[in-house]
Amino acid sequence: MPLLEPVLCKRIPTAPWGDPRDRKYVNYEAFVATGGYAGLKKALAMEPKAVIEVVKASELRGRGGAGFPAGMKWSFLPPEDGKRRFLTVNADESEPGTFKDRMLLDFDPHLMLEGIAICMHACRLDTAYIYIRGEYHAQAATLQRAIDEAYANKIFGAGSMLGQINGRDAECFMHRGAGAYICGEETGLLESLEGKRGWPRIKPPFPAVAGAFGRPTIINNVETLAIVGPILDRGADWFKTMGKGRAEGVPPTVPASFGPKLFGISGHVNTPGVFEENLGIKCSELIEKYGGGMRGGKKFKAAIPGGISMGVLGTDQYHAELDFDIGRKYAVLGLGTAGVVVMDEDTDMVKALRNMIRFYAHESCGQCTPCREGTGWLSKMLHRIEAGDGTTRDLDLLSEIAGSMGAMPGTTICGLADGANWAVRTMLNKFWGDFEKRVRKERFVSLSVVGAR
Amino acid sequence: MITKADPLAQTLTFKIDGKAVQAPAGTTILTALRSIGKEVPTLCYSDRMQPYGACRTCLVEVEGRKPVASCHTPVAADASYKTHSPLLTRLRKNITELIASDHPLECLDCTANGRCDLQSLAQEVGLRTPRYENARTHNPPKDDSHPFIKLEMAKCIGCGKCARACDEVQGSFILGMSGRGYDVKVIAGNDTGFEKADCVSCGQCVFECPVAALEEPGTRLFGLPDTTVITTCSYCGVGCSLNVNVKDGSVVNIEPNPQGSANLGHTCVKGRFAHQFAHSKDRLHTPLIKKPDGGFREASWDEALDLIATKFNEIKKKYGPAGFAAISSSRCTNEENYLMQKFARVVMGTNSIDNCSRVCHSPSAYALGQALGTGAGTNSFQDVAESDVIMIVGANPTEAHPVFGARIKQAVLKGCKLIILDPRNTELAKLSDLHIPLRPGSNVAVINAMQHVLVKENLIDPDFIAKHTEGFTQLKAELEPCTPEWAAEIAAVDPDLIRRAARLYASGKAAQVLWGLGVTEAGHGSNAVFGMINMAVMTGNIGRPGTGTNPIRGQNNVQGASDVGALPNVFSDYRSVTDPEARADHRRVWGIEPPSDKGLRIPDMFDAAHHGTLKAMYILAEDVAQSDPNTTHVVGALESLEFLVVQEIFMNETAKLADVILPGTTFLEKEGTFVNSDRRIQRVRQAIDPRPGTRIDGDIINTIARRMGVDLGVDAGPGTPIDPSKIMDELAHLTPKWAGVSYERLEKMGFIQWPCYDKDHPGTEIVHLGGETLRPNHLAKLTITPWQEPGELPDKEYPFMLTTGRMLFHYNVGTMTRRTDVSKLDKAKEETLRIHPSDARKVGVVNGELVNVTSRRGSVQVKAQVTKATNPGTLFMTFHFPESRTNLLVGSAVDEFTGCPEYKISAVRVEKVTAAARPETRDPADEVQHAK
Ligand SMILES: Cc1cc2nc3c(=O)[nH]c(=O)nc-3n(C[C@H](O)[C@H](O)[C@H](O)COP(=O)(O)O)c2cc1C
Ligand code: SF4
Ligand code: SF4
Ligand code: SF4
Ligand code: SF4
Ligand code: FES
Repeated sequence: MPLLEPVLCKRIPTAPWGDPRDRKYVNYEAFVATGGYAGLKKALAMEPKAVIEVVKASELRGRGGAGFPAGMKWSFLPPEDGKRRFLTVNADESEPGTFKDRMLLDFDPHLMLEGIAICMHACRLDTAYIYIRGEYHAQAATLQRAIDEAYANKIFGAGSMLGQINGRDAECFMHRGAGAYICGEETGLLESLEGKRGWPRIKPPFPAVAGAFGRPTIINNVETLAIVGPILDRGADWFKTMGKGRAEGVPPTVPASFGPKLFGISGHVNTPGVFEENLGIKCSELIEKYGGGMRGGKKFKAAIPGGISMGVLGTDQYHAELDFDIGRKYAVLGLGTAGVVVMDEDTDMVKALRNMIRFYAHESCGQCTPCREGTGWLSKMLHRIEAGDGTTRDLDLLSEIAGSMGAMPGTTICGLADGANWAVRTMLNKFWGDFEKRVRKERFVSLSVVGAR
Repeated sequence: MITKADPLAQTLTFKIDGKAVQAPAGTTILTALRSIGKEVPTLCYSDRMQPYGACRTCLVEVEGRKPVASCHTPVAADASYKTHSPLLTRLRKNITELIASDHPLECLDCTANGRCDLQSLAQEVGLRTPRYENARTHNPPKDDSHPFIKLEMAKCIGCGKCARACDEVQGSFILGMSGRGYDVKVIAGNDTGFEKADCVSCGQCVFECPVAALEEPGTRLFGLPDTTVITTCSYCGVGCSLNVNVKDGSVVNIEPNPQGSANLGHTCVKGRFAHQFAHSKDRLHTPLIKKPDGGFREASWDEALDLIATKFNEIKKKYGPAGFAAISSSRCTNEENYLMQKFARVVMGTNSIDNCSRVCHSPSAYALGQALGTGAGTNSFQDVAESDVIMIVGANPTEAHPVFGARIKQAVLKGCKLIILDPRNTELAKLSDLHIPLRPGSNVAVINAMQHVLVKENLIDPDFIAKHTEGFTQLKAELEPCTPEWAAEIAAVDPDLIRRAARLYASGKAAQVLWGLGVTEAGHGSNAVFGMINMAVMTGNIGRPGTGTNPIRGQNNVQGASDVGALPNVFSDYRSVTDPEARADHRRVWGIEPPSDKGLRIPDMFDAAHHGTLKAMYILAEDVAQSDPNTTHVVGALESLEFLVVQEIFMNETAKLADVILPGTTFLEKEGTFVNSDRRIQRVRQAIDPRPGTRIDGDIINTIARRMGVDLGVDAGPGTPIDPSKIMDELAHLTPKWAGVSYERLEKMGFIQWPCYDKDHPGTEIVHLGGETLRPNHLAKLTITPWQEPGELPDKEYPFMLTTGRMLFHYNVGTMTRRTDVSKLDKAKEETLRIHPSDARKVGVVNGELVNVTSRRGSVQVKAQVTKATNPGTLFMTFHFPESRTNLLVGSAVDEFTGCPEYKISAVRVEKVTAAARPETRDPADEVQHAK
């Protein structure tokens, strides 16, 4: 069943409810006039702990990529000790194929600010930092405008409706990144926020215990926080009427896929853009109904479900349901950001993978040996294969190093290398023929090299 | 990593390779597996730094979960870990192969060959040639610019250890990683190279580098050492334990000893790199006898020693004990110092023996002894990690005691509050919470005012005062007029600063006071020390971890030289020469009646020489003509002697005045012990043979005694070498607080901190535990400390205050450091006058211009260095460069209790040298114009 009403896109005209050409900035007055900050008012009337319980009950999972249950994250904080505690909002949105947070920041930043204020109240956080992607110049200006409006209307600042938290006025600041993908990784973000190189931290300690400036810190994605206001306003049960829900027979301890979600569609479709739908919508439905079908009537070949770090869906996985179970069911890493990149039958998979891996090699922070050296070699080898100098041995080596790098096999500090790992392995596994063809043909030409070894 | 185990942590049980293991929660898997003798490869982990978790070779398997890096992952209850498995070997091999793919693999041509972590790892995982084609894409040029630190990025494996060592151990933040991904590289400063980046050349980055990306020249020239000798640094009072690597009888290089208790595997530029002096061509290599024309001729040892024996006997006969005095050396071992004082007392029959602590820390020893019952600091270096407030008075540890300075810096970076009383804007002052930039000579006033505030604002611990002290009522009355306003006037600071400092000090749960030569050499030093002790005692900050009153001793063994009795008024253990019990002990052991004359202190010796009562002196490794204040007076004294013996390693100003010069040896060539600043007795071990023609100092003293017909009982018969362990046994026997010290125990324990009362005593980390002092009645004495004007004040003619001190790269008069490559460092090349920009403007000089600095005693010429490191009105010079003759300027006022000179303060004026007055060639001698 399709989504009945837009939630995140309530004030942002989006098909099928509105025309994207009508989108414009929703200022404080317009936001409040359409029911904005009602969730905050309700939350402020509640005990902080009770707010966390609502979020927990909603089973909201993080929208930034990892899908970690937000309510659970909020309850990990140590007891207050009168010193500072932080909220950092991850608006670094740098995952290729992902541009959903941008839409929220462009048009309805107050929706996120409401979530921020609720989170600060619930978790007793006195200061919020919104870490915004360096390239988001226009968005930064809009966001600052919204923050200023929020201060002017006593959402934050001295005498705000949040009152004193940890003995301090609640503050909300914007911090601009400088153009590094790794600063979207939560601990890389914290380092960057502290003015250091954005090198992800080893864990433990986790940010909830020692995050920004060594103090307890919550980190959430823009979209995660944006949905918190509506949840508080209309209740967890309402939220759970949306989305795929929990499959039958699955115990309630296992996180499920509730609620609406922003999906970005790009690539070889007719109408790319950001749309709001239930979690669990089929990839095919998304392409056909929202993406306007395949561009030029070409055949579907592959799709990346949620940012390139998730790997690819194969040609036969056209109908994959886009929810948090996608990883297990379709041999990809996960739903990720739900930024779907569609590829048609003419796509050169070798070239596509080379392009993806070049990104990781460029963005690897260079801290962990396997990622630093590994992404470098993956990139060099793929360039070689693309140029026609590869051998089947190169393909084996590709999947061997890719398979041994990442936080999943335990060989890196952060998840960036897992992205490279999954991109390479799913491409090779699902499109082995495309790769084999390339190297086999060329093997003949560079036989001397093979013989030399 | 240097962290204290949390005593409250819960104990967890888990399995490693099937074996049940227990460890407190928070222990890393690596620590746990090492505790049962297991090992995993590590490339980026070091015991001295926080875990980094980047190389991932230390992975272990966790049953039912993904592998984790053992170096930073804490153990989990009931987990089961595997240190080796086919999966782990495969992952490790992949990692090794990746690194090797971009590594020169020219192992034969590499200085790390045989001790390279990457090489061993490749062997362990069975890697031969990497499978990647067209490897070696990085090949940047070598950075050879630094004299000690060579950087070859092509070999870098990106482990980040160097940068972390610089941050977390040295605290200089010079190195960083730049670029990202495959292009990550190590840079110094903003990629400006080491020196421009203010590198202090401590060498820690080189020490930690697991490969040869950072290397030092020694290893490049010589190859792998054949032996490693553990010894103790001979430069400063930190007493760093060093690994001296030797090949074919020469020092290849010196590295920190990772097990060193005082330095925890760290060193400064001096201990680490300034050792070539031992092999210097300038070393004295034969005895020299003065010719009638004033020059020297080479002589045989026999001739020189016989001459000395005859002369000393003659003098003794002719003038009695009063005709002779000896100066012992804090550069030499305890055993040699003990021997020297025994020589003076037993052979020459006089108490006129002193050592240079007179010119540095005698006020500390005196005041600590009076107030608390022992003449040394109360706590240990490691205590800075447990203090929540540290107050430093008149010391610049990051330059003068760099390894300890670095520890303080780390403590401060971790949140310990820091109060600085210092006229200079030192590195630590910049990091401090509160800096009182007091006028030189006003220490006592400010410290008194701080005590006043403590009492007035009731920031004291009345219970502790009642239980553990005496003299509070009188002190309280005396402090009444010492208001912050009164002191502020004298010190030229804001009174509020003094109030806040006192409050901050009192706010500490564990507050400690540290001081240096800026207190003891600043006149009325004893009173300042008494005042600081009062502060500690009144607030109950004594006898607990992180508290106490601790002098930072200047030279490597000033503490020891005094401990073993190279002082006129006391035997070893500071037992008075008039104490009947001590005399009886010595009579029994020495077999003679110990002398009962009132021995001469060093300044008295020079006076006595001028008066003609003192006729002969034996000076051991002390360049008094250079380093003592009021050079002119000292030179005159030495010139007036009938016979002067100087034992030295290099020709120097004092030696030039000698009748006989004896070539001694360096610490690298002898056996013995040093005592560092926190009472730590550590072994000095022979690393290389004495250079040809030189002799071990202790042997020389003993042979002179033998030739004078006295057996000091420290050899195996005439003509045999001394046995330092035998000397230590005698010393321990005569020294109650050292009774438990022996070479055997030192060998086993690595170090012993005195007091150590018997053979089962573990030594004492913190003295006066629980507030019970070592005085006979176990009470701390609160002492009244009236403020007096410093001996010298600025006036119209001499409007500036000159203070003197050290800089990092050199040591004392530079005899040793300036004969090493250290002097190739830009910052270490020449003396400068540090002058505040506003003063420079007044005098009309700019940076680098030549100025005349003139005091009431003399004038010297030096380059001005305009810097905000000193305060307006206060100037600074070091005494490392004999040619600049800093000491010509220094005053002759002394501490009333101990005769310690007021080295730190002299009134001077500064004038720009006009072009005409500038000498053509800068012959050092030309720069010295004696004032009348
Ligand atoms: C390499 C890397 C890049 C990431 N970039 C982003 C990002 O740009 N935006 C984001 O919200 N989360 C990003 N994440 C995920 C964050 O680490 C973190 O999981 C997320 O911000 C948590 O918020 P959520 O729980 O609300 O999803 C990234 C993770 C990795 C490993
Ligand atoms: S996995 Fe890669 S990006 Fe992440 S910390 Fe390690 S080197 Fe940096
Ligand atoms: S020598 Fe010392 S100060 Fe210089 S870069 Fe290395 S660690 Fe840092
Ligand atoms: S220079 Fe040495 S210590 Fe520094 S990162 Fe490279 S390999 Fe590691
Ligand atoms: S001079 Fe001092 S700090 Fe430097 S190595 Fe020697 S003992 Fe250590
Ligand atoms: S030693 Fe553990 S990751 Fe390097």
